[in-house]
Amino acid sequence: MKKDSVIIDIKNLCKAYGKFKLKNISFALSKGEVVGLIGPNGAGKSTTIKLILNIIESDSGEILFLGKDILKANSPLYKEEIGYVGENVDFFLNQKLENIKKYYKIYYKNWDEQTYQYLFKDVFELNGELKMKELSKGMKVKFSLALALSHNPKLLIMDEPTSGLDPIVRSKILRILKEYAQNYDAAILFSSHITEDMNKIADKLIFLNNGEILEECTVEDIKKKDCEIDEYLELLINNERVNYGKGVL
Amino acid sequence: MEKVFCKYIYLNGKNLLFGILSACFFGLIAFDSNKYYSAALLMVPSLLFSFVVGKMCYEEDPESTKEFLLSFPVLKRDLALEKNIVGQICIVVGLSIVNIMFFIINIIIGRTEAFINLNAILVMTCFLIIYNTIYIYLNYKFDYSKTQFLSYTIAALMFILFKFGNEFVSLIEGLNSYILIITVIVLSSISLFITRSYKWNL
Repeated sequence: MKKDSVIIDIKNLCKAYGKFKLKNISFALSKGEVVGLIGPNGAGKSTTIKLILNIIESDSGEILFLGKDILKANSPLYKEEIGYVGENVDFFLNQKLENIKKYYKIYYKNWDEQTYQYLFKDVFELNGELKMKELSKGMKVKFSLALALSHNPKLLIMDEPTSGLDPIVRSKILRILKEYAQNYDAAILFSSHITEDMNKIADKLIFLNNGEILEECTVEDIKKKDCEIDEYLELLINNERVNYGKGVL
Repeated sequence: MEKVFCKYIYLNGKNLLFGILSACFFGLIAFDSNKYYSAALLMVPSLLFSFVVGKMCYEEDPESTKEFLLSFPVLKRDLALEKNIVGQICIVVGLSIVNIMFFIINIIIGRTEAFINLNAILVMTCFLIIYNTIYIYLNYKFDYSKTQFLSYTIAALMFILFKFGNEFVSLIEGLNSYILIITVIVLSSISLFITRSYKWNL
């Protein structure tokens, strides 16, 4: 991996809260790469994403974003280069989409109104006069994605955005993501437990369980093993249990 | 600062307008008597605070909205600090509305007695700064629902001032205005400092 093509490089990231521990998470994303974070509920996918966005603070580790350590910098400005679509898109429910957009765009100096209008009206066919609470889950994800892509982020983070969506909307969103990563040299970190989505867009997969990375591989690697992604995840989790059992005994 | 103003205009424009209209409407109490001046000094800025900052706290209360906001290039403390600054602006605007309304109404009905009381304004400002700070603290330390208990203190105090407005004014008459001005500045600075430096767990 060329050093100048790396967008985000995470090294030994740790976070403990309550009984849950995220242990020594390390991975990197390069330009044009779509990386899938896969794991069961409570594996640490959302925690990893929240750490990157500094929504929660890490206990130790390093996050180099475009070469700068964002944990030491103590400035939120790096987030101007990050687009985020969360799992829960029920934000500002009483607000009109147009007003949310107006507010959102003042925080991003690279805001591109043309891209937004194209995605909002032509691709997603949304209406700015509608309120968030009047939208379906699919429409909310589309709106969040239009916002996230309109400031040309170098890194797009998506935390299980396709869960609960119908296959047509999911396919449309995945196609847009793939195109965006290729055309804009951006990296996409995509967390999901819908392995079908990973098959469609991911270049690389990171398997997480109990706050640890079990394995990092490409989709092709798994295909070569004549295995489905979910079967492979199950296999990895079972192996981990066996190893853990041996350790205890 | 520009971003903060834009936020309140885009996301809370209607309430901003309703807040100012309600504040002006409450100021009409001057038609009755100037003895309600101190009650208006308390009520109008708190009404404005409730319409502007309170409504924004309510809008931002859901976890999903907080997460959405924290994905922006902002620090957690900025979200709380912004409410403190807007809260202090509400106090200044609210107090100005009361004085302007009382002044205009006194002219309209030809009432010549003096009503402006600097000490009353300063004492109310001190109280409102403390009130706003506690409100913001409760909102971010716990959640929006906890702030609602605080509103009862305003309601209780308002009834006291309605009944004993004149007594309150004569009670604070003897206070040194310079000391009160310094107290307002110190309280305002402490309030901003606490909001800025507290480790908010959003």
